[in-house]
Amino acid sequence: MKQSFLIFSITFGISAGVSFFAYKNHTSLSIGDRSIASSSIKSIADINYRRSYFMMDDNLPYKGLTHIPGKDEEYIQRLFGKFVQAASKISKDDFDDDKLFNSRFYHNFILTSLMVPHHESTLMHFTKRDPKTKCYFSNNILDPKNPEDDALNYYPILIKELEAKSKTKEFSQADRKELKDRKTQLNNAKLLDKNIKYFFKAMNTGEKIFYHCSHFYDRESAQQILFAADYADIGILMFNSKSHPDFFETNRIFDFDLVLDYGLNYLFDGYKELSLNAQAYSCLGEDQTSFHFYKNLTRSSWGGKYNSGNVGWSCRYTDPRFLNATPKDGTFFVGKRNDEGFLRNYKKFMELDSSLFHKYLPEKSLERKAFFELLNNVKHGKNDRVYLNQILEFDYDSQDELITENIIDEIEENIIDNDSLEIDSEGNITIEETIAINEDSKNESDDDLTKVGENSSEDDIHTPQPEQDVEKDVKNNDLISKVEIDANKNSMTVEDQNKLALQVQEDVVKRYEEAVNDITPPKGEGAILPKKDIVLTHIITGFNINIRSAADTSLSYDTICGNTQVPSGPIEVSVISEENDFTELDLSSIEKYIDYDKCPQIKTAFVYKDFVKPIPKKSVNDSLKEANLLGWVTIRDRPSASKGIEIGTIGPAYGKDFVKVMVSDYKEYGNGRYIWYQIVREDGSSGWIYAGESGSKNFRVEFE
Amino acid sequence: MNKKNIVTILFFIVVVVGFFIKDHDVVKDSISTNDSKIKTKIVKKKMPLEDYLGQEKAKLDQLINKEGEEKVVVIKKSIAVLKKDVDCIIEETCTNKENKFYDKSLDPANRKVKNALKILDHISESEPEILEQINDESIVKVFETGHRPSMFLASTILLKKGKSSFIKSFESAKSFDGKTASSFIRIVDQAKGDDFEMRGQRNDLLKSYLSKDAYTVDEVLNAMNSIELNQDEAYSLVSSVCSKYKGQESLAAVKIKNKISLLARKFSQLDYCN
Repeated sequence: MKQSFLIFSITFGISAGVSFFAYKNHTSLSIGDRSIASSSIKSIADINYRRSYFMMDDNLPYKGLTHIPGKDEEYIQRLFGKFVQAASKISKDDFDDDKLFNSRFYHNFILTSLMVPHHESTLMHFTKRDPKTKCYFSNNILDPKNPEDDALNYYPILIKELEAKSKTKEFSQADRKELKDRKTQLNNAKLLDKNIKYFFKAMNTGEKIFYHCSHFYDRESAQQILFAADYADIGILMFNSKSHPDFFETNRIFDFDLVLDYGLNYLFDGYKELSLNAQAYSCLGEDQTSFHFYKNLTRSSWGGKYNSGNVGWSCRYTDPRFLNATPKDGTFFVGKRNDEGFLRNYKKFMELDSSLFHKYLPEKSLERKAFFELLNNVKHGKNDRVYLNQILEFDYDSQDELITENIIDEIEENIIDNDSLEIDSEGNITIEETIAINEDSKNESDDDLTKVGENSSEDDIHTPQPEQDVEKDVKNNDLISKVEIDANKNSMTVEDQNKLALQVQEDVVKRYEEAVNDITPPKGEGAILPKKDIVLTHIITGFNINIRSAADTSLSYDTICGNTQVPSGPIEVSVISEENDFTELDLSSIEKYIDYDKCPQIKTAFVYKDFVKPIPKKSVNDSLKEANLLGWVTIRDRPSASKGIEIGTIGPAYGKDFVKVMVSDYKEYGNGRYIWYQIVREDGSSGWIYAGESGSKNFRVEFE
Repeated sequence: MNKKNIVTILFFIVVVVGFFIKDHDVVKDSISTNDSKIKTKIVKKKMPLEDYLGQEKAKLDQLINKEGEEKVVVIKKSIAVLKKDVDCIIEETCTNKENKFYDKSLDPANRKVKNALKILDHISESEPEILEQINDESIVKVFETGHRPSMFLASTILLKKGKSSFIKSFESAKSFDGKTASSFIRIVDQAKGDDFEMRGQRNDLLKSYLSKDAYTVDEVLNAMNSIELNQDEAYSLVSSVCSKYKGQESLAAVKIKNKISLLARKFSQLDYCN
C-alpha cells in the first residue's frame, strides 16, 4: 500500500507538473507573451516599433508581398528580386545601353533602389502577425475602448498624479520609470493625433478604418502595414501623405507592387536628372569613372528629390547651412541628421557588409550571388550579369503565402448614384457617409472621463504593460518627418524635438545592430522560384521609319523599300532575328508599307533595331487592334477616373476627325455600359482612355 | 484492479483535469477579448462644394452625373475653383512658405484644381457646349502650377476648345523642362496635323527646350524620335546641340549624341554630329 501511494504520488507529481507546464505554455501562446521586451528582435519586422504597425481588417483592399515571421529569408529573397526587376525595368532604356561608356549608372540605380527601402523602413511594408503580441497602441488610440486608449486625456492626468507624488517620500524608482514611460506614450499619442489626420485626409477613407486590437484577438494572425514612428510617412518607401496626394488618393499604398512602381519611378526621376545634369551639382565630383561619383549620386538622389522633394537640395550634405546646423536650426538640422543616417545605411552595404540582405539572403541563393555581383559592379565599374540576368527572369509573385490579396467590393467606375450627394442652390453639398463605429467606444465617450483611474475590467489584460512596451518617439531612420517641425502643436520647441530625435536615433541604431549582430546567412539555396511567364510582342515605334531589304549599315537609299507612315501609331511586327544593328522582320505585318515595285525580291524586312521595341501582351493569341479615336481624351495609368493618375492626352489633329490608336486591352464597368481601352503609344508606352458609354453618340472609339 | 491500472487511471484523470483547467481559461480568454461590435452609421455632413472638391477621391462620378440645376452649380463651382485656387498655388500662399522643402507641384491644393478639371473634362465629353463657359486664361494658368496630372487635364480641355485656345498655352509651356517638356511636345505634335502655323510653333518650342539642361534635351530627343519631323527640321534643330556637346565625354554628352545619331538614321544619315 505504501508502495502504491508512493508510485501514485510520484505519478501525480509528474502529471501535475506536465499539466501545469502545458497550461502555462498554452496560456502564453493564447493570450500573448506580454513580457516580450521591446528591444527583442526576433524577426526582421521587430526592428521597427510595434506601435508603427497598424493592424488591418478585411475592410481594406491590401495586396502584395507580405512578411511572415519565421520566413524572413524567403521574404528578403522575394523582396530583393522584385526591387531589382522593377529598378531594372525603369532604368534600362536610359542607362543599360551598350553604346554608353559604362553600365555603372544602371547598376548603381538598382543598388540605390535597394538602399532606399533599407534605410526608410528596414525593408518592411506588410507583415502578418499575431494580434495578441504584435498589435499595440496605435490601433487602440484610433478606436478607443479602454480609458487609457483616450491617451491625450488619460496620460496627462496620470502624469499629473505621478508628478504630484514625486514631491513626496512615497515616490519610488518604479514610479519614476512609470512617469517617464507615460510621458513618452503621451508624446507618441500626440504625434499620432497630429499626423494621422493627413493620412486619412489623403486617403479619404474616413477615420474609422483601423480597429482596436481586441477586434483581432480571435485570429492567429492579421495583416499589418508599417507607418513611420511619427506617423507622417507610410510604407516600405515611406511616402509622406501630404507630399504625395496623387499617390494616396488612388489607394496605391495598400498595393505593394504599385508602391514599388510609383516610388522607384519617383526616385529615378531625381536620379536621372542628377546623372545627366551632373555638372551642375559640384558635390557629385567630375570623374564619372570613380566610385566616389556613384556614391554621391546615390546620396544626392535620396537626399534631394526623394527626401527633400526638390532636386535643388541634392548637395545639402556638403552645404554649410546643413553641415553646421544645430538642433535649434529646424529643417537644416533635420536634413543634416537625415543625411548622416543615410550615409550610415550606405556603409552597411558598401563597407560593413551588415545590410539585411547580407544577413538574410541564403548563402547559395541566386539572389545572394546577384547581390554581390551588383555590389562589385558598382564598386569596381564592372558589368557582370551572370546572376543579375537570371534574377530578371524569375516570378517573385508566384503563388505563396507571402503573396497576399484581400479583395473588397468597390463601387464600380461611373455608376450613377445620385442619392448620396445633394447640392443646394448655393452650392453647399450634403454628403452621406457610412462609417463603421465601435459600439463599446461609443459607450465610453458617453461616459466622459469618469472611468479614468478606475480598474478597467478584464480587458486590461490585453493592454501591454507600459514599463515593458514603451517605445520612444522616432521616425525610423529619418528621425522626423520631411515636413517642417510644428513646435507649437506639440508643445515642444524645435530644439527639444531635435534633441529627442537624436536620442531616439541611438535607439534605432541599437535595434538594428541587435538584429544583425550575427551575420551568418542561412545555408542552402533558399526558395526556388519559377520563371516568369510573360508573352512579348514587338512594335515599330515612331513615324517615317525606314523599312529595308537588307541589314544595311551604310544606310544606303538603295535598300529602302518603304517607310512607316504619319500618323500610324505603333505597328505590331513579328521578329525573326537581329543582324548588324538591324532587326529582321516578317513581312506579313508591314506589307502595306512596302513598295514592291522598288523591292520585288524582298523576302524579309530590316528595321534599325532601336526603332523595334518589345512590349508585353495579354496572351499568345491576342494582338494589338487598330482603332479610330474620335475626340481628345486624357490618358491615365489605370482604367479609372478616380484611381488612375493622368499621364497624357491624345486625340485627332485639328482638321481631322480621328486619330489611329493601337488598342491592347479593355475594361468594362456597369455590365458593359462604361468602356475603357488600353492603348499603346507610338513610343511603346501604354495608358488607359475612357471611351464613354457603350452605344452613346459620344462614344469616342471605333474599330474598323 | 491492479496497482498499475490504478496509477494509469489516476494519471489520466490528472491530465484531463489539467487540460480542462487550461481549456476553461482559453474559453474565458476568448469571451473576454472577442468583443468587437462594429456597427455602421450614416453621417450627414454639409460643406461648400469647393471644399468638397479638395477632398481626395471625391465622388466625382456623382457630381458629373448630376442633372439640371445641380449640374449648373457643379460647373459654376468648378470654374470658380480654377480662378481662385490656381492663383494660390502659383503664389504659394496655400501653405507654409517658410518650409524650406516646399514644392508647389506637390501642394495638396493641386487636388482641388485637379478635381475641378476632371469634372469639366468629363462633363464636356457629353456636353461640349460647357467649354464656352471656361475662360482660356484660367486653364492656361494651370500649367504654371507644375502639377503634371492637372497639366494633362488642362491640355485636354484646351484641345477640345480649339486651336486658338490651345496655342495660348505655348508661352507658359516654354518654361517646361524634363519630362513635362517632352510630354507637351508630343501633345502639340499630335494636335498640329497639317497646320503650318502650329508646326512652326512646335519647332519653336523644340528649339527652346533643346537649349536647356542636358536632362531636358535628353527627354526631348526621346520625343523627337517618335514625332513627325522632316530631315531639314531635324538637322536644323539638333545642330546647335551637337556644337554644345562636341568633344565632351560625360554620360550626358554620350547619351545625347547617341540619340541624335538615332534621329539621323531615320533619314538615312550616319550622324548629324560628325
